[in-house]
Amino acid sequence: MVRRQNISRQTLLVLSHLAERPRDWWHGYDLMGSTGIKSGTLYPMLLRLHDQGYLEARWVESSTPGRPQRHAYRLTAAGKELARTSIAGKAGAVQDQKGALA
Amino acid sequence: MIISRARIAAAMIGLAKSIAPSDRKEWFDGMVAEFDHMPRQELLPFALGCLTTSVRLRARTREFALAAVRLALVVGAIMWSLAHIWFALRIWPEDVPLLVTASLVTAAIFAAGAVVTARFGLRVTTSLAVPALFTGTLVILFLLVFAAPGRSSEALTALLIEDVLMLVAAIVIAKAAQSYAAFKTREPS
Repeated sequence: MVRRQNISRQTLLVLSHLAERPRDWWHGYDLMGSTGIKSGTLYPMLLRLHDQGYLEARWVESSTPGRPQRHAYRLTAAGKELARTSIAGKAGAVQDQKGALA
Repeated sequence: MIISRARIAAAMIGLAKSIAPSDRKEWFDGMVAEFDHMPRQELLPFALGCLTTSVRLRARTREFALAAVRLALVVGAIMWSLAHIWFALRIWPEDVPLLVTASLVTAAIFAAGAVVTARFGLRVTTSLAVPALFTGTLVILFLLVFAAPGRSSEALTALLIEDVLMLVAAIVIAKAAQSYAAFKTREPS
């Protein structure tokens, strides 16, 4: 069961991006680009979500040959549930933020 | 010689990785790996963010808390010791040998406390400060009961009361830091 908690607008934005393609593995830089959140905010947030069991992380091969592996992230089942309930509760705020980034 | 922004960024992310708590190294390896997939102009702000993250994570560890308290106690003891030396030098011409001696002895005790704390940590600080506190309190009681009233004995008593209060503060701070560290150790990661 997902524990309800106070979720910041930036966390909500990251959750909504991760939930858009929940099977995909996202890289930190991709998430920065798509959410507009800086690394100093994004990584502590990802670490927190990971510690709380909402995010899984693993190393994946780079799409560019010869480049090192990349650390990638995606939502766990609990993370998907958290994203679903949080986004449903604050749908307007998420749309506003995505609109501002577009 | 002009150091390129990319080199500065690489140095910063290397520093971030070395500062990061050991259980987070994999995440910082991940950040380093992202370096090879980013445009050059974005490396510096990215590295700065990673360094900030690393410092914030390190600041929350029990090791950091203990080291910070240890440093604060060492600096505090040195400052207190210097204050006593300064006081002894100021009263020297007035020829109050007992007060000068007491002040210099106290300065030496606090300086030794600083060295011991720096070398052996908070547990030893507490185990040495408690007997010193006990001794100081006994001397104060002795002075209050048996010493002949006078400027010299009153000044000596006041000096010792200040020292005892400083020792109490040091013990409380060291104990609080040790309790916090024990709590952090029990806390699930």
